[in-house]
Parts: sequence; structure tokens; C-alpha cells
Amino acid sequence: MKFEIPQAVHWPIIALINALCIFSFFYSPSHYMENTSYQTKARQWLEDLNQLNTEEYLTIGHGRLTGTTLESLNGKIRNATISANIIRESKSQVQIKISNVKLSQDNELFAIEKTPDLFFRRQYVLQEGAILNYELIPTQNKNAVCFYIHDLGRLRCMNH
Amino acid sequence: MSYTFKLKNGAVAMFDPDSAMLTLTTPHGDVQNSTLGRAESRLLDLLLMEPGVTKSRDEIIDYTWNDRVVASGSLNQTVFSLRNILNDSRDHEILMTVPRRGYCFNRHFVVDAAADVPAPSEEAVQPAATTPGQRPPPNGDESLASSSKTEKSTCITKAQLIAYIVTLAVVALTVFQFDFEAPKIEISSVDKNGLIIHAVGNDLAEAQALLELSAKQSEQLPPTLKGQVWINLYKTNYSVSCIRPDLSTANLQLNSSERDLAMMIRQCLEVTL
Repeated sequence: MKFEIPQAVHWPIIALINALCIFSFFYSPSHYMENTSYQTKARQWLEDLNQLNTEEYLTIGHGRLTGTTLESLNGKIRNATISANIIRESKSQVQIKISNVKLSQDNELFAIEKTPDLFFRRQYVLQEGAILNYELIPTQNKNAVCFYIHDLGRLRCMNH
Repeated sequence: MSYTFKLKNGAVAMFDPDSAMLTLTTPHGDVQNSTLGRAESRLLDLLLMEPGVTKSRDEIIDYTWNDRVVASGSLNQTVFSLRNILNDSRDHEILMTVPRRGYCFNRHFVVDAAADVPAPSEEAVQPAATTPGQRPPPNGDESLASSSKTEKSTCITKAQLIAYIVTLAVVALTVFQFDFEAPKIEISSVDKNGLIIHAVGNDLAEAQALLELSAKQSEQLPPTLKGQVWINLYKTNYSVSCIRPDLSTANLQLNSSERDLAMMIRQCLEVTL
């Protein structure tokens, strides 16, 4: 049995498919809110059991991602700001390319050479042109965003 | 035996080769009866005998003018005339030219005999007229070798084909844009009386194993502990991220050999960093 589509039906089909594609281009709901500043606090136990505390801020919008980290250890403070362009984006994936890095000081607050893995991850993320893949994790609350950065193995939840 | 076929304007045509009568029923129910000339009638009869089958010029001339010798131009004139009657003079979709082979009747326009055809109205019987202002082609214009019309084996037009190709490209671009090749994580979750633990892994087995470990260790946690917790093991480091009941967030990271997960979950949900 041969299935045939009447000629008059072809144009509505073509129009519908194109309309759906165009709609999905302009309407792609994400797990985050655009141009909203998210923040969080984090604590990392170092090899010497010192606690590295950080305050982190993140804004995503208009094709840009900006992240700022203030880290403090034993009264010393250092901050880093990373700007990146969003290369590709889907509902749960954001791929960025680092375009600018600003550090308040070059020296690390702790002996990072004792944790080579952390050292190399920081080297990578502080390099202009580096590509990072964020995967957004669905949460029950719209005011919070959780994500996993594949390239750094970093998990974060932030709120605004 | 009579034949029934559609026209492009939605009208239904019934052709009786014995009486050479062509009855057109418009979508509004109006009926036009006309008697075809002998040549047009014989040509239509031959092509409708086997819709979709190409008949050569010689075959058509033999059948249509079996009792006399005619010039090649007569066939061109008859085809032109019949196309005008069938409102097919512009794009030749019904009576198709098959280059270098002959002519055929597009079988997609033929209506199944069992199909429901609107009954002709006795009141509105008008003679069929050819489209005014159209002149017959000069001899040889319908030449099969020089014809630019291509055979159409389906109902789809050239413009629609191009539109489909463009649409296909748009769809491919959309899929490429929204489903790009990127690493993906798997998440396994468990709800323990308001404490929701999500284990994040590179694959489902990894996430499930981490979830079992987390769930087992979290049994010692107080039942009043609420919130959402995500746990990940990257190399030798555990990451614990949480959303507390007051919607604030916290994140902890430490070596897997140093602390147990239950303590980390509790710290993440309760301790001010």
C-alpha cells in the first residue's frame, strides 16, 4: 500500500516544521535565569587540612558568562574574575570559551604544588581560549542553579 | 467504461470515451458538460487506459488517427487543445510530456472508480471553454527532444522539493544547535523523608554505586535534616553541593579518604561557611 500526501498538504507541513525550528531557536528554556547574579559559598579541605573558603558569583546572559571567585585562607584574600563567551547552548548544556581572566594577585594562597591535580585544573581554567562544558542540573527551585563542569570535575549549586 | 480523474482546481472530471463526453464537476457542485473532438477524445481514451504508462508518439498517432495519415504537428495541436480543456496548459502536470519518449496521463490524478464522486447537478450545465488568450504552440514546440518539462512521478512540485530540502537543512541546524556533542552526566536520586540525595556520575552505574554508598552512610543522619544534596566523586575528591530549606546553597570538597559522606551532607546543610 502506497501512502501519498495530497499536494495541498505539503506547504502546511513545510511551514509547520520551519515554524517549530524557528520557535525552538528563540524559545529555549534553560535551567537558569538569564542576567541573574547567582552566588554561593564553598569550602575545600586542602592536603594540610587547612580550609580554603570561597565566595563565588556567576552571571549568564547575552551570550556571556562571568564568574568571580573570592578565596580566603588564614586571613589572606585573593580574587579572580573570568569572562567567557557562550559558544553553544542547549537546555541543559552550556559550552563556553574563556575570553578574559583577571587576578588580584598571581601568587596562590596555599602551596598548590602539593596538589598537582588542582594546580593543572587552575592552569587550564585561567587560560584564555580554554573551553569549558557546563551541564546544568534540574533543581526543584527556580531561585537556585546547580551545574557540573565536566572539564574540572566541579559540582556547584548557587542561589540568587 | 468511463474514467474519472481530478483536475488541479479541485474539479472532478468524468470522461466517457464512447460518447466523447467530458463532464466536469466543480468543488461547488457546478457541472460542465462538453463533447470532445474526435482526436482529443481518442487521445484521452488511450492515455487513460493505462495511467502512468508512457505512450509513444507513433502509438498515439496510430490510435488517434487510425483511419488517416496526419502530420506530426496534428498531435502537438491535439495535446495542446486537450491540455487547455483540462486546465493543464501551464505546467502539464496531468497530461505529462516524457522527454524523448512520448506522453502519459499522471496516474495521481486518476480517481479510483470506487471513490465518492459528487453527483452532477442537472441545473448548471454549461459548455466547457478553453482558456482565452492562449495560442497553440508552433509545430515542433511540443517536440519531445526539446521539451524542458520533466517527468513528474509524484504529486510534489519542484518548489516544494526545494522547500523540503531547505527545511531539512534547517532541522539539521536546529538539531546540531540543541544537541551538540558534549559529555553528559547521569544522576541517581533518593528521597529520605525530605532529604533528597542525588548522586552524580559519568554513567548510571557510577551514579547508582555512589547513591548506595551515600544512602547507607546517611542512615545515621537525624530525620529532621531536610534539603537537596548532590554528591560527586571526581578522582579522589568528593564534592557535595546542597540547597538548604531556606534556599541558600553551599558546596564542600575534600579528599575521599578523610571524611565520611554523612558528615559532609550534614555540614553542607547546616553549617555556616
